[in-house]
Amino acid sequence: MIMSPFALVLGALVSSALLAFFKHSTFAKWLALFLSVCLLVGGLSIAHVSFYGVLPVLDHLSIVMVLLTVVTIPVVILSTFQTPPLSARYFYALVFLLEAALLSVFMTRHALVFYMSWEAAIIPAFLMLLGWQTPRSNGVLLKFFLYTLMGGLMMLFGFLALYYFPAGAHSFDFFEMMAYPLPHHWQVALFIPFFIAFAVKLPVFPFHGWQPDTYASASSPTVMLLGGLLSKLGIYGILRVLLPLLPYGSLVWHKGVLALAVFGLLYAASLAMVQKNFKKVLAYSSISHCCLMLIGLFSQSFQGIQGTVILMVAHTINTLGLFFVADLIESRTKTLDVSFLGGIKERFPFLAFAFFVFLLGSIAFPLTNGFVGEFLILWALFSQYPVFAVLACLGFVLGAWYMLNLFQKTMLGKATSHHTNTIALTPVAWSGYLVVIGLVLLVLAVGIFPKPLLVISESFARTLVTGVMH
Amino acid sequence: MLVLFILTGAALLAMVGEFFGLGRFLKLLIGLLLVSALLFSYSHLSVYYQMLSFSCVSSVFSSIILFFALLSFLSIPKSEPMYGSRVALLIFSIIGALLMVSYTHFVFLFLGIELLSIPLYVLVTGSQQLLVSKEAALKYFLMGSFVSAVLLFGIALVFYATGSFYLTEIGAHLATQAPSPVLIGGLLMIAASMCFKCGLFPFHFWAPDVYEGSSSSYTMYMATVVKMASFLAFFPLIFFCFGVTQSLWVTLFIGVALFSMTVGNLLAIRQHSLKRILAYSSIAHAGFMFLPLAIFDVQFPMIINYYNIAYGLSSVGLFLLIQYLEKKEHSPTFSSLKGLSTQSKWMTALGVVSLLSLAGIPLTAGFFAKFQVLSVAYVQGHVGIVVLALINTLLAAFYYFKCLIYMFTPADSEYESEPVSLGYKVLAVFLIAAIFVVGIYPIFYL
Repeated sequence: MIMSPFALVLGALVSSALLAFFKHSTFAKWLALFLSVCLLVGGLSIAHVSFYGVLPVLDHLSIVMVLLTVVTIPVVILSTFQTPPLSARYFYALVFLLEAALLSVFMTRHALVFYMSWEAAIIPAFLMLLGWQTPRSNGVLLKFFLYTLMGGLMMLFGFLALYYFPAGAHSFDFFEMMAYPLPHHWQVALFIPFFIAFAVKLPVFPFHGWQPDTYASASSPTVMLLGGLLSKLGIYGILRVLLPLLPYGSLVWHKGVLALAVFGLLYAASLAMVQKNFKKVLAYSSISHCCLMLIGLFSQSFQGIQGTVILMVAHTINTLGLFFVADLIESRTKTLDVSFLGGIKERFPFLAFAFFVFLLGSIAFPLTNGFVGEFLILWALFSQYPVFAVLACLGFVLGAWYMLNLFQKTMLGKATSHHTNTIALTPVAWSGYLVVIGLVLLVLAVGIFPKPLLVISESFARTLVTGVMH
Repeated sequence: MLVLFILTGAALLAMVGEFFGLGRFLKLLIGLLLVSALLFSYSHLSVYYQMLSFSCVSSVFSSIILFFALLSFLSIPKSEPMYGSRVALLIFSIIGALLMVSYTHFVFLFLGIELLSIPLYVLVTGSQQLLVSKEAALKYFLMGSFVSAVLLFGIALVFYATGSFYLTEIGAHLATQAPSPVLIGGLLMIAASMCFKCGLFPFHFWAPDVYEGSSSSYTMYMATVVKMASFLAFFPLIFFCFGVTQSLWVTLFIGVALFSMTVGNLLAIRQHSLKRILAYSSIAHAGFMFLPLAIFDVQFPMIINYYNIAYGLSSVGLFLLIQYLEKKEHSPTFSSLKGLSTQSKWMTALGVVSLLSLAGIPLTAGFFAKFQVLSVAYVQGHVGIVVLALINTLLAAFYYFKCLIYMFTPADSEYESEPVSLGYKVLAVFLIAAIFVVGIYPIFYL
């Protein structure tokens, strides 16, 4: 019982309920950290027993996602230690609600539970945006909600069809569904709603409309959760539903998706180049990376899927790091407008160093985490579609351009403008150092020694590729 | 049968209670009588020459109606002038609703509808001397009585064609002979008047004005009990009349359902007053509820019943919230929701959960209600309808979430925050729990 996935979800729910009762913010944050570490230990042990087959409750894909979730949550909570959000207890309670919903999505085998947890994850995210958004904008909130709800409803439509249309038995179990494939024309048709559902979540072009504004106006811990975890729902959905359950549909559409993703990659990268807001640059860069992951998923090859898994983990780590740096800057300068920033390196060399490491990870510098994933994806793409691969490489050049440009404008130079002169010299607290050092170590660890991730993703990548090929 | 006697007794007591100095205990007494009616709602017999037949199914329906009637009754403020007489009228109306779920003879259908509606025409007028209330009452009365006439005419035509008022005999007639034009006309009129009571397109025009004009408790009553009773009264008609001649009606009914949801949702988006939004959203929900009926799925009674419960719980929650807001200003709009989250955590929680349920977000009751409707449409192969229904869900989410966002918007000026009484808190906790329990264990209510 204690080792069941249900216990983990229940633990998160109980933590959430518990936190709502503690008014004192210092106490709430320590309690939240403690509970999240407990869940981390629980998640690790479930992953451990599942991986070594002692008690195979999760498959390898679920193990990756669960680990990603339970590691991210303590990092996010720790990142709020220096300046806890207003009414901290409600914020932490929502974080745990989100964790419960995500764990439930990642661990279930049942399509309806999958859908319900998927939708349930929107609600805490929406409330986090609602309560802690600066500046407040109802339009942004509605846009976020309607986009994600539209995706969810598309998925509901798809699941109903997956349940009712196969000729044989009806089942909502993912593994049983694989045994009763849909007729080919239905696979081709149903690919569209499922793809939109997952593409909205990632988000990739042209379903990214909600993302830049939402990221720019949400508080940093919220963005860390949105970009670090919620966007991974899309990847997980494609790996869990789209590729295994609609193999023929994926085969038919994959060239279209690749073209869309390559275009989206370049499009988002070029938009990132002209942004004036620090967070918006990061937001568009995130879209660009998501497009790359999509390329990996639909490259119809083993390396592509493995590369996507590594890139997904890397993207979470880098997103956490970059948005944490953004948060540290914003809480000191009160602005994220690039033209008002500059010379941060003079005052906070540590901040500049941290930003530079995450930046290297983000632009896929060798020996950092981004490189392994992007290399594998490009390799997979180049062996089949050299033209797309060349175009995607162009995207990397643009990526390096805008990220280094951002570094130059914010970290180097002189602190001339009035905003930076009034930088409140609050030093970074120990918790900030802890977050940054931990994430930097992760960036290097994944970049230098990606083998564990390759091993864990091998089995499902192989099944998916053979399933798609036939 | 006992339940009807208890209710009549309660109504008489409410009427005369104030003269006998029972005014202070009236709410308690009537409440207890309603609870006892709920407990004794099970009966199994046919009376009045089998014109009224109580069965297990109708007892379940009666108890659901009584439960929601009790909630509406509890929400009527005791300070209202002529409290006793109003309660008496409400209880007579409940009796009408109970007749509507257990009739087997057209006369009792008509009687039930009239008994349900006539007290409501009075109750809509409201205690405050407001022009909107008077307008609402007049509109409701004129339209309602016209529709009653249509219903009566329809019943007369059916009688002319089949020679009977009994549903079973009409059903037997329809099963053996091809329906004559007169019979079809009669059934069409009956269907139209029932659609009016359910608030379905194209007979939905009364809903927004009447909802806005009457005070929240009675609006709550109309949105839950009246709507439920009208849908439940539809069931025997479907079994005996419309179901037998399915092919004639299916296109028309599907059109009614789809137009109701689309028109309701599209018009709701344009509104500012919360009550009008709820009125249009009730039209849209009626469209959803009507869908299983319209495609003549065999499971429709369970599905509609579940939908009724889910919709009833969430709309009671929202009307309680509106009643709370009405203490500050008449006819609350979006901007009256501002600052709610800082003023009262209880009402905010209630509002959020009710809105999520109405929007059909998973884990709340509203999700499974919608899910079942969509499933049966799928099973019957109406994929286009499912797509339209999903688009409608998205449209509805727009205005529900607009409400939600306003709840968390800071207030423009510092309001004196209205304290929430214990009764509200108890009801809020109960409703939130009920919405989640019904949503998480849907199997018990099917």
